[in-house]
Amino acid sequence: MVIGKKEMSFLNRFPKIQQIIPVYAVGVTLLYSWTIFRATKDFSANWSLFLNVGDILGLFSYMLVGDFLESLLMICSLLLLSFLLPRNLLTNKFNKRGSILAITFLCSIMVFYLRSSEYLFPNMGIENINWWIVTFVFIFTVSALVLLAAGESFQMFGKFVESIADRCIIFLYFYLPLTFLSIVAIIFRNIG
Amino acid sequence: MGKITRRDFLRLVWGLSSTTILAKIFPGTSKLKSENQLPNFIILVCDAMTARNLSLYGYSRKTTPNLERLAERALVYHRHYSNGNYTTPGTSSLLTGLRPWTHRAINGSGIIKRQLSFHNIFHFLGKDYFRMAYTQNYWADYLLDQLSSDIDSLLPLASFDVIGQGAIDQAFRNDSVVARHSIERMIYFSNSLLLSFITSLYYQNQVKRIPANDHPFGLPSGNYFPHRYTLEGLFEGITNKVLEMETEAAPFFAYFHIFPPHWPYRPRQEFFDLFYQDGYRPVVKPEHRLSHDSSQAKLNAYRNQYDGYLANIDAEIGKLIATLEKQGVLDHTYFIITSDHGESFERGMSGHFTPLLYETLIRIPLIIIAPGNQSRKDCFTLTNSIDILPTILTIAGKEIPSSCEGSLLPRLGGSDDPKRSIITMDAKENPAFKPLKRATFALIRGNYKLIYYLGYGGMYQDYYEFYNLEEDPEELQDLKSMTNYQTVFSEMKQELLTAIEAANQQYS
Repeated sequence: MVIGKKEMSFLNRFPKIQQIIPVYAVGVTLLYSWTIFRATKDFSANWSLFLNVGDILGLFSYMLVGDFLESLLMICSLLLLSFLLPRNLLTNKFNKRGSILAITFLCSIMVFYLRSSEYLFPNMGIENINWWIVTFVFIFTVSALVLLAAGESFQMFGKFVESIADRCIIFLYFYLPLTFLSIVAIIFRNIG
Repeated sequence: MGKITRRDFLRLVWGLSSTTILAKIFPGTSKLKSENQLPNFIILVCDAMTARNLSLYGYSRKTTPNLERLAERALVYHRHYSNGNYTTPGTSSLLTGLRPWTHRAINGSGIIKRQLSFHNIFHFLGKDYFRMAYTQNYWADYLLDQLSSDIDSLLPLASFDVIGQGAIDQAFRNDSVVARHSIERMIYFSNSLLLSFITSLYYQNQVKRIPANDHPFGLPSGNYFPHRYTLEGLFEGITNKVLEMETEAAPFFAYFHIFPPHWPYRPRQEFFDLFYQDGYRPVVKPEHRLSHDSSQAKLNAYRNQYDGYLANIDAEIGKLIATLEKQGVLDHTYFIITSDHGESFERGMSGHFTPLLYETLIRIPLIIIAPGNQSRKDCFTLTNSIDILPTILTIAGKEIPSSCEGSLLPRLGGSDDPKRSIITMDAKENPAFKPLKRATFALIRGNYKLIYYLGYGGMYQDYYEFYNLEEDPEELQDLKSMTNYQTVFSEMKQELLTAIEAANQQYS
């Protein structure tokens, strides 16, 4: 099949697959690791008290599949952004800038969660929601801009981010097969 | 002539066999019996409703004028106890008729021991009844989910909500316990980064759109789940459901486990105003070392909110009963009002997620409106949640399984036994299927109460408290060292230790 000019120009607005994979790997690493870190706490404090091994593995299966959906959501959002923004802003440097955006966004949420108690809803009291959103957007925007600027000004920092993203690819070989097994496990658990 | 079904046959047998007994207790039941009709049952469990804050049971704030009015023609149990101090063990004992150390639903969000999941009120009532259940409490919903094969209609948690999620909960019916535990942690407890973030923003934004001007603390809600509802909407939903079953599914057994008055306490303004500045001064008790360390000012503020919430709920219960009465439902329905555990505003402890087992945490209401009963009947004998299952089975003409650990309630076939012992426990940090080594137990016999703390370290590694509830209902004077109480203290201690040892035997 020959790809026409129109399709080429559409696809050109997206980064190359070699650039997408490291950014996706950064997202997967952070999302999955966070869930496993939190779930390990649940395991020792609660689940291990009354659930059997099969059920606990089942719990992790649902969580990993949830993480997989999140990772797709994250990379799709970044791709959409790269499609909408001028090529020079994001698409051409997707590896470095996409990684910085993914890291700052996910880490901003982590900081918020670690600073609040584990109960999300009462902590985001309705009377505080506007303040909460403004604070979050401010922290994320400032940290992202600072890191993006640092990535451009200091070549070493830019290379460091890219090398981190590259190294995260190893986690794809670990987390994605586990996700596949989790999907199979969930299907089996729900057949009946 | 149509075919006689098993259900018709059992109705006939029940009509013949139990007519005499119940007619003696409640003369008005003759109407019910003449139609050979099995009675309906409605259990209304109000989560975290302590008997100590109800004016029905002598609380000086007028929190329950409607329950007092209803009590004029009801059975009122004054010394009724939950078998646990929070939802999971309290609800499980009520539904299974088993003590927590038997059913083993002792951990937060825990479930009933799988081999015993058949041992429940829905199963024992069987197909002769249309069995319906509903709860707003997530942890109680785990339990109902576990029993769902014995329930004909299990309503979703968010059935009567203004805003509520429910679609995800319903998506994994064949693996609901595991799926829902996972989804709960992912979305509501921030085990996921993005899903919880997006969901919380979405629901907070939704909630913001609902006017809640007459609710000074916001609309009633779950404690960490994105449900919002009004008490009016909730009770209207319950009323409609009962009327629907009355016309389409009688005889029915309905279990409604509502979240109020559980924290967050969110009464309407008019009810909060009732007690906000009424000058009430609760008895100040010394802070307990195992408490949450809440200040007295904070406890008093919470108490004010809670009492207002109780009055608000009481008004809605009053309306519910009036409607059911008007529609004739109560002519053939046992209406049972109770709770799964109490609530504390003393000793530095707010709420109920605690190892403490003082009266405020475990003494709960039990009021039964029985068909045909026109006068108030007070019962001061010790009773507990596990008595409800065998009592209902008896009224429904069913056999009581020998494995049941409760007794028939006095005035409903049971006898007043002054020597009876009640045992309540908390072991939320103890593995469910291992011997009990970190737990609190309370044994109540007559007017005496023994509390035993086990495995909490320090002075509470192996520690007893002993109270005379008649002379010291506030449990302020520990009598275990008093010489004139040594005999009864030793006897009760021995009884409790023997019972714990027996419970531990199969896990050691």
